[in-house]
Amino acid sequence: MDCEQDSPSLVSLSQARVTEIAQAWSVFCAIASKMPSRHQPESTFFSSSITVLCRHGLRSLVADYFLNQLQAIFQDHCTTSFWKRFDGYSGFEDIDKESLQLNNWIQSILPQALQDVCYVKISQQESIDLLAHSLRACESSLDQSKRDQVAANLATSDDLLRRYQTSVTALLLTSAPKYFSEILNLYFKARLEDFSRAARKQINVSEMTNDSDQYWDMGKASQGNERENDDLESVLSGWTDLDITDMVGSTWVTEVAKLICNLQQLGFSAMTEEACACAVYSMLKDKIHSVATKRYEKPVLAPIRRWIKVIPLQFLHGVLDSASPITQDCAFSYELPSPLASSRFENSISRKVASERITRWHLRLEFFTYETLGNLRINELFDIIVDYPESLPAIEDLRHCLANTGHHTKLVESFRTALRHRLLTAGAATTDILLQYISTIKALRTMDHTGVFLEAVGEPIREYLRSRKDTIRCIVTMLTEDTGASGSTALGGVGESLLEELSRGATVIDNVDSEDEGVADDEDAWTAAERWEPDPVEADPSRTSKSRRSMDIIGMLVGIYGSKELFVNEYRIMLAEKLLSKSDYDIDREIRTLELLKLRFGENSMHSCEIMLKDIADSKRINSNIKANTVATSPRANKMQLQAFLGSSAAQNTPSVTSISRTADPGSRLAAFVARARGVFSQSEQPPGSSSNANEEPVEKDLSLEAVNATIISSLFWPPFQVENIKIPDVVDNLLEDYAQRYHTLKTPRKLQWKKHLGIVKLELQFEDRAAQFMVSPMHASIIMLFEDHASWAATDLASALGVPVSTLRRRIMLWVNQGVLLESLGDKPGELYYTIIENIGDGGSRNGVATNDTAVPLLGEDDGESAVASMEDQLQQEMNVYESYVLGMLTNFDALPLDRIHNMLKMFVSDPPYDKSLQQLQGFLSGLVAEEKLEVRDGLYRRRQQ
Amino acid sequence: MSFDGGVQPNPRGQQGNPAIDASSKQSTPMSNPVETHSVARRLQSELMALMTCGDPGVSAFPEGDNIFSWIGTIKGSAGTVYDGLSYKLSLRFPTEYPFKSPTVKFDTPCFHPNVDQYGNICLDILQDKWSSAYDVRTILLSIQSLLGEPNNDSPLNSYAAALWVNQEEYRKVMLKQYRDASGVNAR
Repeated sequence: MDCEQDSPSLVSLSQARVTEIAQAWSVFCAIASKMPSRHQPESTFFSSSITVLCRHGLRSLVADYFLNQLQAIFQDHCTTSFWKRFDGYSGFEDIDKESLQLNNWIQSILPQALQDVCYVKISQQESIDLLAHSLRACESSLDQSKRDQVAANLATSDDLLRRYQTSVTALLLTSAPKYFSEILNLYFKARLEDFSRAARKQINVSEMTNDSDQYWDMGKASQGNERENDDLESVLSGWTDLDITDMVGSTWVTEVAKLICNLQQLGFSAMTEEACACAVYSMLKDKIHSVATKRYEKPVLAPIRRWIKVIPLQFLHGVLDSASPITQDCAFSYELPSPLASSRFENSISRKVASERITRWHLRLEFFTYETLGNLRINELFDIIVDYPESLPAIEDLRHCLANTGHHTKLVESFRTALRHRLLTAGAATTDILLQYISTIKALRTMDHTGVFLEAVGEPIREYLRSRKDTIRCIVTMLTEDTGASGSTALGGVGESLLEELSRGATVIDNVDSEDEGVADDEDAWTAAERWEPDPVEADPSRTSKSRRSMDIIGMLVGIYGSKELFVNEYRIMLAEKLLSKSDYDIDREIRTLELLKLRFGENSMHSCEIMLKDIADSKRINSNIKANTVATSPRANKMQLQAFLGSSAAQNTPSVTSISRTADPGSRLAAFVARARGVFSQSEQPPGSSSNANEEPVEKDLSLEAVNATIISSLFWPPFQVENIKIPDVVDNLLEDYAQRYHTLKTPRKLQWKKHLGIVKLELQFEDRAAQFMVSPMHASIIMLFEDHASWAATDLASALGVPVSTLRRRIMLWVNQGVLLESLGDKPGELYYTIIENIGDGGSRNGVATNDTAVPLLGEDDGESAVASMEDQLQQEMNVYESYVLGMLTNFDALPLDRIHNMLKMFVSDPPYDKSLQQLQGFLSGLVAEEKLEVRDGLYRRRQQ
Repeated sequence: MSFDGGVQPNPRGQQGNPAIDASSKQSTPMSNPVETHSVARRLQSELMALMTCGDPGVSAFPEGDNIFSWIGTIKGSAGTVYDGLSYKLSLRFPTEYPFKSPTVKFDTPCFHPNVDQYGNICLDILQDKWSSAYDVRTILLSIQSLLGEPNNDSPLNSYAAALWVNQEEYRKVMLKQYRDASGVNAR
């Protein structure tokens, strides 16, 4: 045996001694191999053999051998069989991890297996104890001098135990299958669920007895459909410090504590804690997701935090608190600690350690909540904002989360992505984008008052909106739209809020002004300075924090385009349209809006709008003045107002050339007038073939001035109008002339110049079998009036009678065709269309849904979305037209020019307004001129077309 | 002079011309950049006025990149022998413009009592009667009216002046010259 080599005095040993040692060694080995055993006689042999061996200085050898032996036994008998027990787990791998079956299996296997292996371990430990005891015994028999030596270099029983513990742990950990941690996870998860179920039940029971609790009522109210919420609500209801044992029963506690203790004995404490944490985290995560996902109308952060204190923390308290002493003591003591170990370790240190751990856990869980909820909310932010303001609680939660986690950058990125994918696409209506933008502004304001992140998030929206043509129009509509007037409720709602915003903005501006004056107060300045906070690091340094903060929603919307000019201009156009389409002179609403806008944009920029409104008010007065005259002078007035006809014609007056006093000053009003005519005449349709002559002069056809209402405008201040020349029926024309004449007498030297194609005509058509009222444009009215004399017209004749191109006529006349008033048919001549009046619906047969008699259907602008006022696009077209003369002038003097030369020359010589179009725009414009046969293009050279 | 009547009365003609004229005479031809710039601006606005007024029969446009050198086009007005013909002119503006008159010449050879064979024009407003109130448009209109109403008292082309009384013969000669010229000019 190699041990003999170890002995320093081996050579000097007598034969008898050697025999003695060998005998003792064999006895020792025999017993050691049978360890752990409790047979008392063996233990006497055992200790005597040890004594012999020790005497010969083989003490360390004895200990080492013994430990090795134990280890081998443990490995052979326990480790493999222990892990074998869990082999069944692989059978579950395919099925759901949550399944009850698996849980039951774990529940049945794990504690038992642990218990068994622990039992083995404990008995081995006992044998170690025995060994240590024997060693100690022989030590005491040694003389003092030797004893010192021994004590110095030989292992104590603690030492032995520690070595044993290490080797056992190492054995188990190295041989542990991968899924063991999963098993632990599942076990703790199941226990945690048990616990929370029990806790819930307990709380419910405690509440049953405590009816005064208000949360319970709330919980009850929402019971059924919102089970999770109910759960939360009930948990936050006055949680009393129920003892964990009371809640889940002592068996549960005992079981779990025992298991944990066993695990720790076997050296799995790290794994245990991890599994515990994992279970708690996953439960918390599930909780947060189930409570918070897609629910924005209730705050969830506070309830969850309370819930943390109740369920997971109590669980951890129960589990870890009982475990914590074990880690310290259990590992080094032989006996099992009581399941309710905590009660046994009353000393303050362990208490303190435990509470510290709990606090740490609490903080960890809370942070985890912030993080999880924050991430959840960040991902849902788009939907949250869609739901704004109902989702305000969710936003508030997110604000708290962000304050703790600082994931602002993530928010910005994620929200930007969401915007790109979900909002800023061609499919989204501009109104929707604007609505979302407004909600975003409001929501992010709540979250971050500095506006830094709003700036970052808003930039893509603004950029996208800039690329849309109708953005300004939408904003203006939202600003001015009447709440009820709009068809869509969403738009109406926001229109209201924007209008409110506008009025609020006004007060804010007032406050700002007064603040500026009051700043002189030192104390205020001091508090303001104290309130100052630096901008977040992400802030764009090029902008001041004040500019960021002071911008309100309107400001931001208007700021999309960087200046208010465009906005004001669009408003002017829309206002003009609105005013022109009014059939009365009621402008109270517009005045109010304008006043608000003036507060925001300043008097100057709203100047022309103000004049427009004033024109309307003046028109009302002048109109009634003229009417009053009529009554006095015209005997025909009020005669036969059988059917009302609101004819509207627009007119523009130029100052008479002779009126020197007016024209001398170019700033004076070049008064222009739009008239709104209300005429009374009936329109009788005769069946074809019958004598229509009879109807030519009837009194019914008399139109009195009473029927005309004029809107008189100062054209300088109004946006340019669409230009269109039409011939209106003589009856109406004469009437308008009459009106203009009266105006001239009343307001010399001014004259009316009618814009005959603008306005509204209210007319009633009488057919053989029916009558119908319409509100249409003058063009439509003129068309239909022509059918009074002839029941059928060729398209070309009709067009020349009206003085419009055939294409325009065909476009406009569709309204009557669609209304079932006229019938379009192909005539004898090729390519010629004929229009015939449908007198009897029966024989016309084309339509049966003709408007009923009672209501006048406004059909204005229905056909091609046209408006009285030239739109921005048309204005652009007109801008381009300025260049036409340049191009023509150029090509008069140069025979032929290539495109880029024209482009360069325009750039060089056109200064007012500066030529800022692109080459492509010019090319498009020039090809337009070519199409109009003004130019021709050959070999890339443009030249004037020779007449 | 007799053709003064053809010059359109300029609305801006009234404003203190004597003073401006006086100053123009003293102003030495110093083409400092600021002045050049203001002259260019004036020419630009004249161009704009010309483009937008839409006078039939007269037109002009800067030639190439230089705004001081223009090409003009005049059509003979109806009822005169020049009816239906169009003449190209060159206009060169001095840097002292509008205090000095531009140099205007016919590019297309023109058979006319007051135009010589090199295209020089004898017109008082282009010489001693020049005023800063005139502009490109009035110059062109004056020349247009000069075509129909020549001043035969001080002719540059005495043959044309002599022929003027016989309008038919005059037109024949003039057309022949015009066709020859355009034939030569045809590129």
